[in-house]
Amino acid sequence: MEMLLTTLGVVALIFIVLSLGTWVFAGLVTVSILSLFLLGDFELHRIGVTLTRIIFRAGNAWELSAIPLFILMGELIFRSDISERLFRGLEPLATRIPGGILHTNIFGCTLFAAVSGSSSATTATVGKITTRELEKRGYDRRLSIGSLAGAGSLGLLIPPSIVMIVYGVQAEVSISKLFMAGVLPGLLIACLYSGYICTQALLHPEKTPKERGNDIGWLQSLRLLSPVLSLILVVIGSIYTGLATPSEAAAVGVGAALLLLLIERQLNWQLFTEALSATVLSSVMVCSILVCAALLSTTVGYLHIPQELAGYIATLGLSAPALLLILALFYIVLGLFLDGISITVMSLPITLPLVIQAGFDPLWFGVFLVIMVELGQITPPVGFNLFVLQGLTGEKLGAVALAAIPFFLLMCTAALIISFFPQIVLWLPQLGS
Amino acid sequence: MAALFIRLVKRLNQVAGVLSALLILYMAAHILLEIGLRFFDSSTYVLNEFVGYAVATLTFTGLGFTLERGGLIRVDMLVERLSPGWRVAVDTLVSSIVLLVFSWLSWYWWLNVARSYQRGISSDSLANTPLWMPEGMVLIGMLIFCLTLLARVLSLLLFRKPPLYLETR
Repeated sequence: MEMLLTTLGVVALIFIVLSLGTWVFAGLVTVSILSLFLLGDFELHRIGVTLTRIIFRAGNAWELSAIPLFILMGELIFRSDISERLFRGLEPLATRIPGGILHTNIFGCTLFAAVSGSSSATTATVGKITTRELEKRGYDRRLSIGSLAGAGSLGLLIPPSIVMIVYGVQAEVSISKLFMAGVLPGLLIACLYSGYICTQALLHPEKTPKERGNDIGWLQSLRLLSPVLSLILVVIGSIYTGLATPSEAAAVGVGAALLLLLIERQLNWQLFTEALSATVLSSVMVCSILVCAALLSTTVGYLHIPQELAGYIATLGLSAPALLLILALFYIVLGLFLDGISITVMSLPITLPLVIQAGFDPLWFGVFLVIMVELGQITPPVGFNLFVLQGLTGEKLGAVALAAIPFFLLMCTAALIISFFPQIVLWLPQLGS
Repeated sequence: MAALFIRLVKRLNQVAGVLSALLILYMAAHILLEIGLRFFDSSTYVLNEFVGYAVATLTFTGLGFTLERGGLIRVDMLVERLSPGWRVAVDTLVSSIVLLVFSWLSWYWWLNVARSYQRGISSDSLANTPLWMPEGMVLIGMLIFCLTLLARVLSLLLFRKPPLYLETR
């Protein structure tokens, strides 16, 4: 009973502090201090000494350098014409299947996700070209916006992935295995999306105008795709040849992107400084939340919440599927209001022990969690992919969110599929080891 | 006077922003160097340590810069429904509380730095880095963040808007 009150107290504090509009990272610090002081009867002096020690330990982690570096790589590509070429290279392939160039949203995001670690970067980079082209050629607006919202979030699932790095660091799971585990589920979701577009195109021909693609031949097509393909090859290659660890691969990616832009004479001082400045903003946002979340997880640990809650859940005698369902609902509700990194770092101290106790593989749960986070990216009122699309298309948030619903449901289906067939997640990493 | 202070803090954050950008470039360079050295069976031996310091420093020196430009995530659904007057009031309250929390935290951080300096504590690595140096960098970041918050509170109180929307020459 007392444990339940403490848990509710912490949840209430989080709710109050965040809903006032406190910056998430500062909210985490404030909630930690208040919880320890009010609920844990800690002296303020002891809190100060403890928290500063934890901040330094959490911040002083070189693996986290992958976050700014993957962001920088994405920002550099975003500002180049690589996404334009990606679109033109994929166009001839897409026009051969029902749904036409709507599929460039899916193919483009899938490919770009393999060089980008975040979903908003993927959505923005691919959408920059496709939203314009699809509208010009008279494709159904809802389908084009929805498919981009859904496919953009693949940026988190297909390696590299910032959320996976965060999960790997927190849950002490090998990041390179997590990266491998994300590949097949990512492709599965891409197939579901493309399948849905095909069905819609066949059922409602008016949504997709008939057009003859420019037949540029596959060699030309390959040439247009070569910048993205070579970046994928370099980044993923450097990890799995053992040349670099997943964290180091981000630096390789930055080097390769800079080299590519240099060779193509696209690199100039303005592009470089703009990319760097945007990188500072996003990385500080992510890293500060990550470091301060260590405080919250230590705090709930001191208050014995995870162990006692796990003990309590165990007495309920929930079956593993029932637990998973509850967790999924919990994450979908959190995803309505919070961004992916915050969800991951705030929930893990509590959910991870539960999941492990129920016998799930932490590697598998990492992928499941990433899909849950992706769902949160496309649900209003707070969904970062929706915000990006709102900016790209000028539509209202509600309209964008409505367009994303079918793709939200398809992603839920994917989560269900990997729950029934965990081998989709685990097969590739097992093969690798 | 207040306007001058706000302007100074803006300038300070520009410098901190450049420093943060340089730290990111340094991380990339050091890691690439390390990978390069591997071909020659060599190493800088201090990759984990120094890049770790850089991550910690970046996180805090960039805070003020990012706060100023509205880059830090917050849940503003509820606050956005308030009237403009109330919104400024809540923002002022929240900014003041965060200022209080981080000033308090900086004090304890300062105690750590001072202790590391007095006792001459250094990392148990090849580099033997005196710990007050990386800890001090984080402290500087925290202090800049506190100044940025103070400028924000002042700007909200005096001009009813955050420094970002303030015309200062």
